[in-house]
Amino acid sequence: MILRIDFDSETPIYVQIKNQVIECIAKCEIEIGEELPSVRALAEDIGVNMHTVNKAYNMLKDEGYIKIDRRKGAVVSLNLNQSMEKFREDLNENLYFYMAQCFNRNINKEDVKDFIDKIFIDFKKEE
Amino acid sequence: MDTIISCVLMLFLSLILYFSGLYVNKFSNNGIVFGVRVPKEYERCEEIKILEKKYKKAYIMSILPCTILLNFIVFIIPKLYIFLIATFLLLVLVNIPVIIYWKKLSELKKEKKWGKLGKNVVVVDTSIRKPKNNEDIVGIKNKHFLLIIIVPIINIILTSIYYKNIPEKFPIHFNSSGVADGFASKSGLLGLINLMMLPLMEIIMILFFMTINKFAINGKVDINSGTLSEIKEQRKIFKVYNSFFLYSILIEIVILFSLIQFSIIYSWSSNTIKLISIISLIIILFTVIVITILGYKIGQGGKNIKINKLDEEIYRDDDKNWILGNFYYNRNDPSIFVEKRIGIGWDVNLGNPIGMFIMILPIILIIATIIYFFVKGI
Repeated sequence: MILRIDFDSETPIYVQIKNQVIECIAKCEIEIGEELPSVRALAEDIGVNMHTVNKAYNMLKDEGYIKIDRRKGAVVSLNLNQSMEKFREDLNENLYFYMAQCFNRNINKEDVKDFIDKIFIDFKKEE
Repeated sequence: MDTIISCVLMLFLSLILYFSGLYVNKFSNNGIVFGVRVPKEYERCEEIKILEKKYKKAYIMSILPCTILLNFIVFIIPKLYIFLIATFLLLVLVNIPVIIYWKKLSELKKEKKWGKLGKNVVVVDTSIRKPKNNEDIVGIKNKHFLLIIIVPIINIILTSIYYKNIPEKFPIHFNSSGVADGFASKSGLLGLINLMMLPLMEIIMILFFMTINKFAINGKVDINSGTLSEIKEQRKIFKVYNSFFLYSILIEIVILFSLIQFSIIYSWSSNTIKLISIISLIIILFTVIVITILGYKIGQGGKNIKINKLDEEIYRDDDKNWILGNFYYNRNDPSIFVEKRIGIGWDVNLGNPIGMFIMILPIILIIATIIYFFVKGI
């Protein structure tokens, strides 16, 4: 799993960590049952406070992407049903906003669909 | 005879320190010139080449006379505290030219705006710490270090069996000609502790080396210059080398200690002890020379190993975390050990209280030892 954390970005670092872990799971860079690095190890590698990593792991846990195993630490699990309803709301809201932007910029439906197809190829590649 | 040993040791240390200072950029981490991070494409540029030439000239003009003078002083004043002060001074002196040129190159970097190149993006590859494939797991494992504990255990068993044969007063200290000049009594609890001191020290050494090895393998990797695939390959080789060095030095020390223990148990003659101490000294010096030469060849973190893989070039300016280009200070980073920027090996994070403690403790100990020897006049 390769993470790229941008210190100049406006997105907070814990959100970047969370988002990248989710992307890595989709890209199969890390599989179900596999351990994430310990909070300390990841904080050392990025060079941030352990609270930052902890916050990201807690968010991942709340959404069901990871579970905390007593022996192994954070393990990828994909128990996403619990947060499905909230996610659908978010998706609807965000997609609505993005599509509005596309419409305003004259990016048509087909272009957006092509773009989505390309992204999904990225996710299926490893299979 | 003791004077000869301190002179030889001084000369040896001088040579290693002198050459590691002279070729400072060869011994530095990937993308580091005089402790400053320089983008790959400018590393061989004209301005830096001129700076390096000037540095070498200034270094030879200033450090060479100092080194010779310090060696001379150690030679004419055969005191232990003089030797310690001289070593300490030398250690500080060889770093002064580097710091002066760190300042010069930092100014050049500012002028050329190299700091603005590259993005402030940290790349983390979790497979470096926890490899997915078994074949990527590098170095010697803990259990192999623990295997050596057999030797001190054999020592302890043999000492117990031959307890009766050991003379009432046995030697615990030998001077450099192999003649015993310190004795301890074997009776009582204190005598038993004295007898078992060496095997216990062996066990502590084994555990200590095992911990260093573990830290070295699992430590934080500096990914700010070069390409990710290159860094991964280089670190793999570097860590294997590092592991083998630790292991071989540990075995040498354990064998040396065991031989001394045997000399107590079997009351070996002073000639045998002399032979053993000379041979072991030569072997240990030889190992250090091999380590230094190989260290020069592969470089810090294996940066001198050429790996031809096309990948995205990383460049992230992290100069602000390095005081004088030499000391890592980052309060946000929880790591205690980080890769050295100048020189081969690991350094401590001074932004971490434990790191600060590990840094200051030896300095206090050295100063205390010097004062102690000075007062005693040794």
